[in-house]
Amino acid sequence: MVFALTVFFAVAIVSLVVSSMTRRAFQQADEERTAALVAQFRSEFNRRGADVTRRIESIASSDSVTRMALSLSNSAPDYGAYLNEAKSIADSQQLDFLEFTDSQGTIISSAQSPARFGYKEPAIATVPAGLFLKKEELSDSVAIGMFATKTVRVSDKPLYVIGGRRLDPGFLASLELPAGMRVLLYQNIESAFSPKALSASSGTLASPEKISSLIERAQRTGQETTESYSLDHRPS
Amino acid sequence: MDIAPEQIRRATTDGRRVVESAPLDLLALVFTRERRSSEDGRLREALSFSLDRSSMRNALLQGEGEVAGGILPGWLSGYEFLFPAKLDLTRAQQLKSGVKTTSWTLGYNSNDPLGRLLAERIALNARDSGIAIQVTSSSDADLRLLRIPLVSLDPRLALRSAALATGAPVPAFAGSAVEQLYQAERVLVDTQRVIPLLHLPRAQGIGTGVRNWRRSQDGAWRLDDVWLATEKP
Repeated sequence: MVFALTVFFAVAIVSLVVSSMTRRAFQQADEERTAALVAQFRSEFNRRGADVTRRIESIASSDSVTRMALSLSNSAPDYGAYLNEAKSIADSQQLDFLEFTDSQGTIISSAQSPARFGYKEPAIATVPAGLFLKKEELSDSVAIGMFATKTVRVSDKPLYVIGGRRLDPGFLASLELPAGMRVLLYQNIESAFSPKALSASSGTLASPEKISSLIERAQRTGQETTESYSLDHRPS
Repeated sequence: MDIAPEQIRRATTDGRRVVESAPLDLLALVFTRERRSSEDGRLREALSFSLDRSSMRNALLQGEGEVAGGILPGWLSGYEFLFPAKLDLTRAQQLKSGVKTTSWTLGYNSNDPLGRLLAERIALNARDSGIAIQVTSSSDADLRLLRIPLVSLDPRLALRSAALATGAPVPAFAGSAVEQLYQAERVLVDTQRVIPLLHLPRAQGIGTGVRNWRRSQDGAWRLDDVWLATEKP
């Protein structure tokens, strides 16, 4: 009897230890895989950003933009002459957004809103160096884009080139993601959580409200936020 | 071939032979409903004062046409300067203040790229005085961007035709003097069914071999004396 009990407790203890170690090992492996996937996503996102930056630099150094900067340094802007300039350059560089502004932020030419010439681009005073995300007001909607900016200096009156790509479901679908990974994008346009603003790189999310607390926390703190969820997935 | 007003500058720069008329056609905002209240009237007046017609002409129309305050072009009526067409944002904001905010939809012809640009510019200008305008290509809109052709060099006929095109009451003329014409146009403008924007020319590109090309003041072609020169190879 005593022998049987000893064997039973020994087996139970060994089972518990093995189970605990296995769970920890799985958890660790899972965390490592998640970290690797996130790193891969960051790398892909940064690659896209670098591509936007490269295109903006290429536009800023082009002959047509240098001519525009020279012309604007000598006289008041002729908005009519540049009305379609940003649009045609944006199309050739496959950018969704492109604007040329003077040092005061006055729009000379805009690809996304050609009618906005002469109006101020409020972001120009506060744009950070390098890549940044910006809300863009369009005539019928609001979009979020990944932007870069470059200054053209051919005189004491600089010309700013600010352009980028739209962050939307199309952008997510074009990302080269590792197998088994899905990216969700929440377009931070409305102050309250809106499930409509959430899009996925593939399929749809069955219960988007599950992650509302995560999104609200990120909105509130402006910091990178981490949480674990078990999400239902509906294939597209 | 016909050349759109905003294409005239480019066509000329490209070396094409372009002939254009005096500014004939009226580009205007036309409300689909009559003014419903004095507040509605104040908003319509505020919208008119908030429009920067000069920049529409200079940039969107590439400097073609004339800013319009009246229905008839100044060269035809002689008194168009009596209708204000200047941007006055302060006045627009004064008129808008205290009036309940409303949102209008502005319809444009979806086949006309200039129409869309103009509509978007109008919406931007309106926002400066606190008026919300949503641009739409739908035909069911609160106001529409219309191009109204000048049908006659007789100002009375032209005014009557413009009134019919906008859906406004057809003006009555007390006499044939210019004062009566002005009064009739004043009554039409005061209905606030129409906000004049620009008077636009009509233009054609013609071949280099075409000689004696002439047109009457109302833009009609006069082909009786036209002949074709033989071009040297």
